[in-house]
Amino acid sequence: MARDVDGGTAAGADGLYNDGRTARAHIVRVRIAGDRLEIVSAAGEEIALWPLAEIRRVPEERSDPAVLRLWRPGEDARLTLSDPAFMRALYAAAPHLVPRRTTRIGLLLRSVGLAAASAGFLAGIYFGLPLVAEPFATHLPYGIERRIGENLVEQDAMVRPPCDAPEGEAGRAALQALADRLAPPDWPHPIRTRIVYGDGFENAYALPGGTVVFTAEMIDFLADPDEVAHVLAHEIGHVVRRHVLAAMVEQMGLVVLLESLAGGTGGVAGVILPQSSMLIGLSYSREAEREADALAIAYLTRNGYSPLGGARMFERLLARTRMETERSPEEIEAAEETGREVHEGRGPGEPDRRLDPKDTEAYDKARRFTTFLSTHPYDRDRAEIARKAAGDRADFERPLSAEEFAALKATCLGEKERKALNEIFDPPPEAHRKP
Amino acid sequence: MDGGIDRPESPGTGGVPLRFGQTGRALPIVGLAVGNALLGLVTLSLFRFWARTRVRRYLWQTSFINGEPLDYSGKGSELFVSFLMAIGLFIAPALLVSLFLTLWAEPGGALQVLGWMAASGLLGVLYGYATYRQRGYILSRTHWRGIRFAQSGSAVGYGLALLGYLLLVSLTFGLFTPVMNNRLVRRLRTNTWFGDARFAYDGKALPLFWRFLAAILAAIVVIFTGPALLTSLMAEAGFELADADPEALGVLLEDPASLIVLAVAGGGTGLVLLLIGALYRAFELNYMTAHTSIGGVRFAFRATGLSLLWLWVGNVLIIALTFGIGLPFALVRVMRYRLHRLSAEGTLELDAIGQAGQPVPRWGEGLADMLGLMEI
Repeated sequence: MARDVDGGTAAGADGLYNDGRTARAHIVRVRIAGDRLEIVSAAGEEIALWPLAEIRRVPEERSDPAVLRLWRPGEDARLTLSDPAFMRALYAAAPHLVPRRTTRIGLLLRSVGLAAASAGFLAGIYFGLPLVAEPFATHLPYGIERRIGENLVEQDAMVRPPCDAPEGEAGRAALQALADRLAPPDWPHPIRTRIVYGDGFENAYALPGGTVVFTAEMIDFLADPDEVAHVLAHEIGHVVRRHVLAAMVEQMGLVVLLESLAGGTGGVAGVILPQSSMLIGLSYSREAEREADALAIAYLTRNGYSPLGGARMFERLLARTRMETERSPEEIEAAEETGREVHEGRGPGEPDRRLDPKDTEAYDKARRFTTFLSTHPYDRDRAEIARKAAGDRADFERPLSAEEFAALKATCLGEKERKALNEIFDPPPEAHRKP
Repeated sequence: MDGGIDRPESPGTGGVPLRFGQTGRALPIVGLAVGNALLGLVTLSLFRFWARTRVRRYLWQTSFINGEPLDYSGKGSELFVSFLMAIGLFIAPALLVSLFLTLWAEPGGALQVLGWMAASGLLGVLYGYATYRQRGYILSRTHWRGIRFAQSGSAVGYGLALLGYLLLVSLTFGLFTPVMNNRLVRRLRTNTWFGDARFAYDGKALPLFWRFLAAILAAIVVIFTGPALLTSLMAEAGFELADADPEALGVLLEDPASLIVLAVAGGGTGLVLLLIGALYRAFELNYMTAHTSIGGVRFAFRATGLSLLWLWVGNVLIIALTFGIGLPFALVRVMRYRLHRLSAEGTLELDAIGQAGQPVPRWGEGLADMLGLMEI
């Protein structure tokens, strides 16, 4: 236990000094001499002279008011004092040594700084990544993008196997031929189409290098050739503007930066193992989506196809989303069981909420707001743009013949389902055909 | 320790015996832990470097040798900068390599396969490398009596050795483990310095191996007999399984008596296995410490299986029930355990110990942070 140091006064006191040269401890006499702390050996010779301004408390978390340990940062020597009177005198001469809550304030300031830096970092990622990713994607030689794409197609096939049964050949050929017609003539690279089993997800997505993938579920969802053409044209729009690679770079950059920020093994795994499966959830910027929509309309009208397919599909999606958000899964299931189409938006005996104009307006408002927060343009706005593009024109070409469309619908089906489908399949309405 | 200066025992004359103490308490460390967690939240976890530094400071300043505390002079900024350096020097190149291998190399081709093998090997070496560097950094920021601790030796060498040993462990179905532990500890201890005094280690693998083998055999016996034994004991106490058919798990899970039997049989067996592990670990700790020395001092440790089990189970509970916020308190418990049970025989010539000649690493342990390695 501590013996109180002899004769401690404001002028001087005993202390324990480690000189940082050997592990030996020295009992020393310390004194404040002007703006310095004088450390003198028991024999009276001066050991060290520390400028008060350079002295700091040895870093500690919860300070013991009875002991003061001092050092000059970066040096090895340590001085330990415990004389209360001398400590008071020293605090008066060097107020920065007082164990104040300044450390707390410093901590708070540092944290505020760090929080601001983190927020800035996030903002930088959010606004900066697209600025980097887009020029990168547009300037990368297309050969490299295609090679990457081929690689990703193979990886994608491991997760989502292609519908490649020989019987599906006619459907695949119809889709490919449509893609060839839709692709703009000034685009020098081939567009390839694929149909895959998508694990229950209706999706169509483009891979780098010009491959457009439809899931079997998406093929199932699309109601007529115009809708097929619209989705395909939209994805070709993404390919031509090279959105795919940009989005990929952006997404991977995001994962890498956020995971590195967090550190830990998750960080390394996230950094080292980029997965092709993330491509299916790849999100483009809203600007990119608008651009692809506009290009899609251009590709469609150039071929004489109707942009209305897109409008109908967006409206169908809207009705379904709305129904899904307003009804429980059980209600939807019940509605499906009673044979009503999900996308019609109501069950038997229920009022058609979709058609109540006041209700719809409020709903649109709310959805536009949530859409503002997400990346896709609002479906109804997209539908309206497509309708506007169509104008009063009614003499559209059909993107796929009835036979081609039937073949496409059957691409991913087994033999039995194929036969059943052929029996019940209704060709799209005649009104659609060119007079 | 208790607020004043302990006069050094016989200052300046001959050797002194060493005694150890730890005075970390729950209340201050809980305050520290909660503060750290809150600050971590608002800084997207970036505060962790400073948080870790604060915890280390507390652990060090409450650890005493002969009544004088250790001090930790590392800084959060050193950890932060080295973390940024780790991103640039290791993670960015690793990302480029992995992108190249996944996006460019022909899938399943020789380049991709060999590339991944090489990259995995490199990553394996990196783990040991980062661990060693981290330890060196912490030692270099630790002072006692104005003398720095230090680490010599090659971090790459340690990484390579660790990777090689781990391969041997998998090739020998785990039997190489005690040999690996002994060799790694030798490498670490003989490269540890207090000033210019070097730690020595003369432990052998064979005594550890026999104990390890015994523990493995005991564990096998327990795995095969424990559940049946406990179930029959429970049956005598009146708790029977609803259905003897082990396939009928659904039936068992709905029957309260069966659930109790399953919990006791499974939990009891697990606990006994843990105890076997703790008994081995206690032996290993005691053995390894007894073969560690510095100058004229030889250390001793008195770990027991039960106390170690309590330390582990308690810490797992603390960390799990506080969602990780309580980690610093778990560390205090570890530190207390270590220093309360550590003793030393013989004397150390403190006057003769000078400052270390090893270079002081400038930056911290960013790579270890990236890899999720966290000793303390």
